[in-house]
Amino acid sequence: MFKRKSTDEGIALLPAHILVWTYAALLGIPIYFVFVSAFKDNIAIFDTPLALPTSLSFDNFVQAWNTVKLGRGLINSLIVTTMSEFVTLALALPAAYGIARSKGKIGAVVERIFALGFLIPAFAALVPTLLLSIKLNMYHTLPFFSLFLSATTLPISVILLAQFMRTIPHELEESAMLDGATRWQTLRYIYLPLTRAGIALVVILNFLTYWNEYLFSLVLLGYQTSTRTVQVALPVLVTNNTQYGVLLAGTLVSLIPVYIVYIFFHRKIEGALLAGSIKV
Amino acid sequence: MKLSNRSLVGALVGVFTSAAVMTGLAMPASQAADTINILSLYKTSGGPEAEAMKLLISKFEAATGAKVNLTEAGEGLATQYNSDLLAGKGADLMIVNLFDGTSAWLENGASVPVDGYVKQWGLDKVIQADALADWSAKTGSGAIQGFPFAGFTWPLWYNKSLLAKAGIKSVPQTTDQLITAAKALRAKGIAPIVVGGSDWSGNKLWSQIIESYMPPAEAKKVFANGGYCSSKNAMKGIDLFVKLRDAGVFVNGIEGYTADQMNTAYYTGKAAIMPAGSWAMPSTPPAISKVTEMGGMPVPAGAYYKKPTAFQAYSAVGLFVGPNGLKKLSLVKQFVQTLYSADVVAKFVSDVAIIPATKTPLTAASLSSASPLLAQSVTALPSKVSYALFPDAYVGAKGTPLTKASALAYGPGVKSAAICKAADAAYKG
Repeated sequence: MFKRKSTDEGIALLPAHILVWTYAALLGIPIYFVFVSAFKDNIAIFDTPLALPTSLSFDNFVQAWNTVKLGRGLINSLIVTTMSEFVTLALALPAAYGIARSKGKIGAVVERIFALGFLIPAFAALVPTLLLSIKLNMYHTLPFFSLFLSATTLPISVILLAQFMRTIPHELEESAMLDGATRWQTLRYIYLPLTRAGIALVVILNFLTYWNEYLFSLVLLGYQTSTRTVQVALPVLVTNNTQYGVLLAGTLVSLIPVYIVYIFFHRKIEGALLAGSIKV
Repeated sequence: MKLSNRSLVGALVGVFTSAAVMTGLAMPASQAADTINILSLYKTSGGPEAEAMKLLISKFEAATGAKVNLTEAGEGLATQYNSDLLAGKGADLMIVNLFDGTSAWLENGASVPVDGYVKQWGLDKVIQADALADWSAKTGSGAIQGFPFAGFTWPLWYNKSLLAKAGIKSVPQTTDQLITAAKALRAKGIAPIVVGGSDWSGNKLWSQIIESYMPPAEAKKVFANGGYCSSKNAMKGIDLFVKLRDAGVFVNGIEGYTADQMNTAYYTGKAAIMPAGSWAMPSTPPAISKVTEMGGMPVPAGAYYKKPTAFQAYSAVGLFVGPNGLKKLSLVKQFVQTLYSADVVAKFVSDVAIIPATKTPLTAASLSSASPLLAQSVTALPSKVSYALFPDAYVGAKGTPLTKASALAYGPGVKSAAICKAADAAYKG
C-alpha cells in the first residue's frame, strides 16, 4: 500500500521534476557555453556553439589577462567591493537596529525614508554623482566610488536587516539591558549573532551589485588601468573584430570571485531565504 | 584559522589605506608639460596593433624626451572623454574612430578643428585629400575634425569555388545576374549573400543598395536629414532591396543574423557572398582567402553607379585634438608627425591591415604581408567597383535607430512603404 502511494506521488511529482530540470538546464546552458567558448576561436563559437572545444589551450586566458591587465582590474574591483561592503554594513546595521526596535512614529518615518531610496532611478543619479565627484576633487578615485556604491545599496540593506532584527524576541534585549548591556553591546552580542543569515544575504546581494556594476564604474573611475574595475576592463576586449573566446575567457576569470563568495555564504543565504519563507 | 574581529578590522583598514594610496597614484591625466595624455582605442598589448603602437610611442618618446600617458579604452571611450572634459582633465589626444559619439565633439568644443594645423605642418602633402574630406564631411564648413589615419575598404566577398559549384563563372555585375546566381546557389544548397541583418553590417548593405539610384549629393541629404519616403531615388532603391530580398538573394533567416554569424557562415564555406570590411581580412582562414574574389554589390539597370558598388572611407581611426592638447601643441605636432612617419604607417598596414590615409604608395608585397585579400582590395578592386557614399558621417547619431529600420527591412514580407516609414521615423525625436 505504501509502495503504491509512493509510486503515485512520484508520478504526481513528474511535471515538477521536468520543470525543475528544465529550469536547471536553462541556467546551466549559458554557464556551459561561456566555459567551452573560452577555449575556442570565433569560428568554432559561432559554428558549433555547444560543442566541446577541440583543445584545452589557455591561450585565450593568457591573452585576456595580458591585454586588459585583468589582474589589476580584479584588485580594483576587490578593493571597491570590500570598502563598499564595509561602509554599508557599518551604517546599515545600527540603522536597522534602531528602526527594528523603534516603537514610535519617528522610526516608521525613517524606515519609509529609506524605502524611498528605491524610487530613485540609478540612471538619474549619474550626472549629479559625476559632478559631485568632480566638486569634491574625488573624480577617478576608488573611495568616492565605494561611498557611492554604499549609498545606493543602503536602503535595501537597512530594510532587509530591519526585517531580520524584528524577528528577535524583545525579551533577549531586555534581559541583556537588565544585566547592564549598552545599546552597542546589545547590537554586538545579541543582534549580530542572531541575524548572521540576514547579514550574509545582504553581503552577497551587495557583492553582486558592486562586483557587476559597469556604467558608474566607467564614468566615475574611467579606463585607466590604475582605477578601472574588472567590469570596465573586460569590454576593452570588444573591437570591430572581437575575439569572443578571449572575451569569454576574461569573463570566466571575472566570475571566479563571485563563485568563491557564493561557496562561502550559500548555506547562510539559503537559511536566510528559508527563514523568510517560513515567516511568510 | 578563525579571523578575529581585531584582525578583520585591521584587514579592512589595510584595504582602505591601499585604496587611498592607489587613488593617489591614480589621479588622472598628468598636466605635466613633458607628458602627453592620450585616450586610445588602439592598445599596446593583445590586439594586432600592439607592436605598431609600441613603435609609435617609443619613436615619439626617443625623439622628444617626453612621456606618453596612454589610457587604453573600449567602446565607452567617448563617455570617459566627455566626463574627463567636464572635470577639466580631458586627454590631449584621442585615437578613435569617427562615429556618432565622436563626430559631435568639434561642434561641442570637445575637440579643436585641425585644418589650420594640416596646412601649417605640411600634412596636406602627406594625407590624401579624400581622407581629409571624410573628416570634414559633417562640418560642411571645411573644418577638419581630426587627423585621419586609418581607413578601410568594404567590398563584397565572393567565394569563387562555391560560385563555380553552382555553375557561375564570374562575379555578378548586375542585380539580375545576382538573382540568377542566388537561384543557382540555392539549387546546390549553398546560401547566397550572408550579412548581419540585425546589426550594423546589415545596415551598411541596406544603405549601399538603396544608394543605387541616388547621386551622392542626394544621398548626403537623405542620410543626414531623412526623407526616404519622399525621395524618388531612395524609394527606387528600397524597392530594389525588397525585390532582391524576395528573390532570395539573402540567406534564410537573414533578419536574425549578426556580423559575427556572417563571418562564420562565410569562413566555413556555408555562404557564397558577404560584405565585410578590410579589418576582417587578416583573420580569414587561408583556404577561404585563396578562393575569395573581391567585388562590389551588383547594380540594377538605370542605376546612378555604372559598376558594382563598394565602400571605402577613412573614418576607421584618426587623431582628435582636445582643448588641453592646445597647451602642448609642439608635442602634439611631433606626435602627429611620428604617427604619419613611413615606418609607423607601414607597421600599421602590415599588422592591422589598415588602408592608410597617407599618400604613402602601397606595394603589393607590403599589403600581402598583412593579407592577400587586402592586397587584392587595394590593387584589383578599384577598377572593378564604383565607391558609393559611405553614410556614417551624414547619418551621425541616427545610426542606431536607422539600424532598427534596416533590420525591419530584412524581415520577410515587409513592404517598401513600411521600410521608408521606419527609416524616416529614425530621424524624429
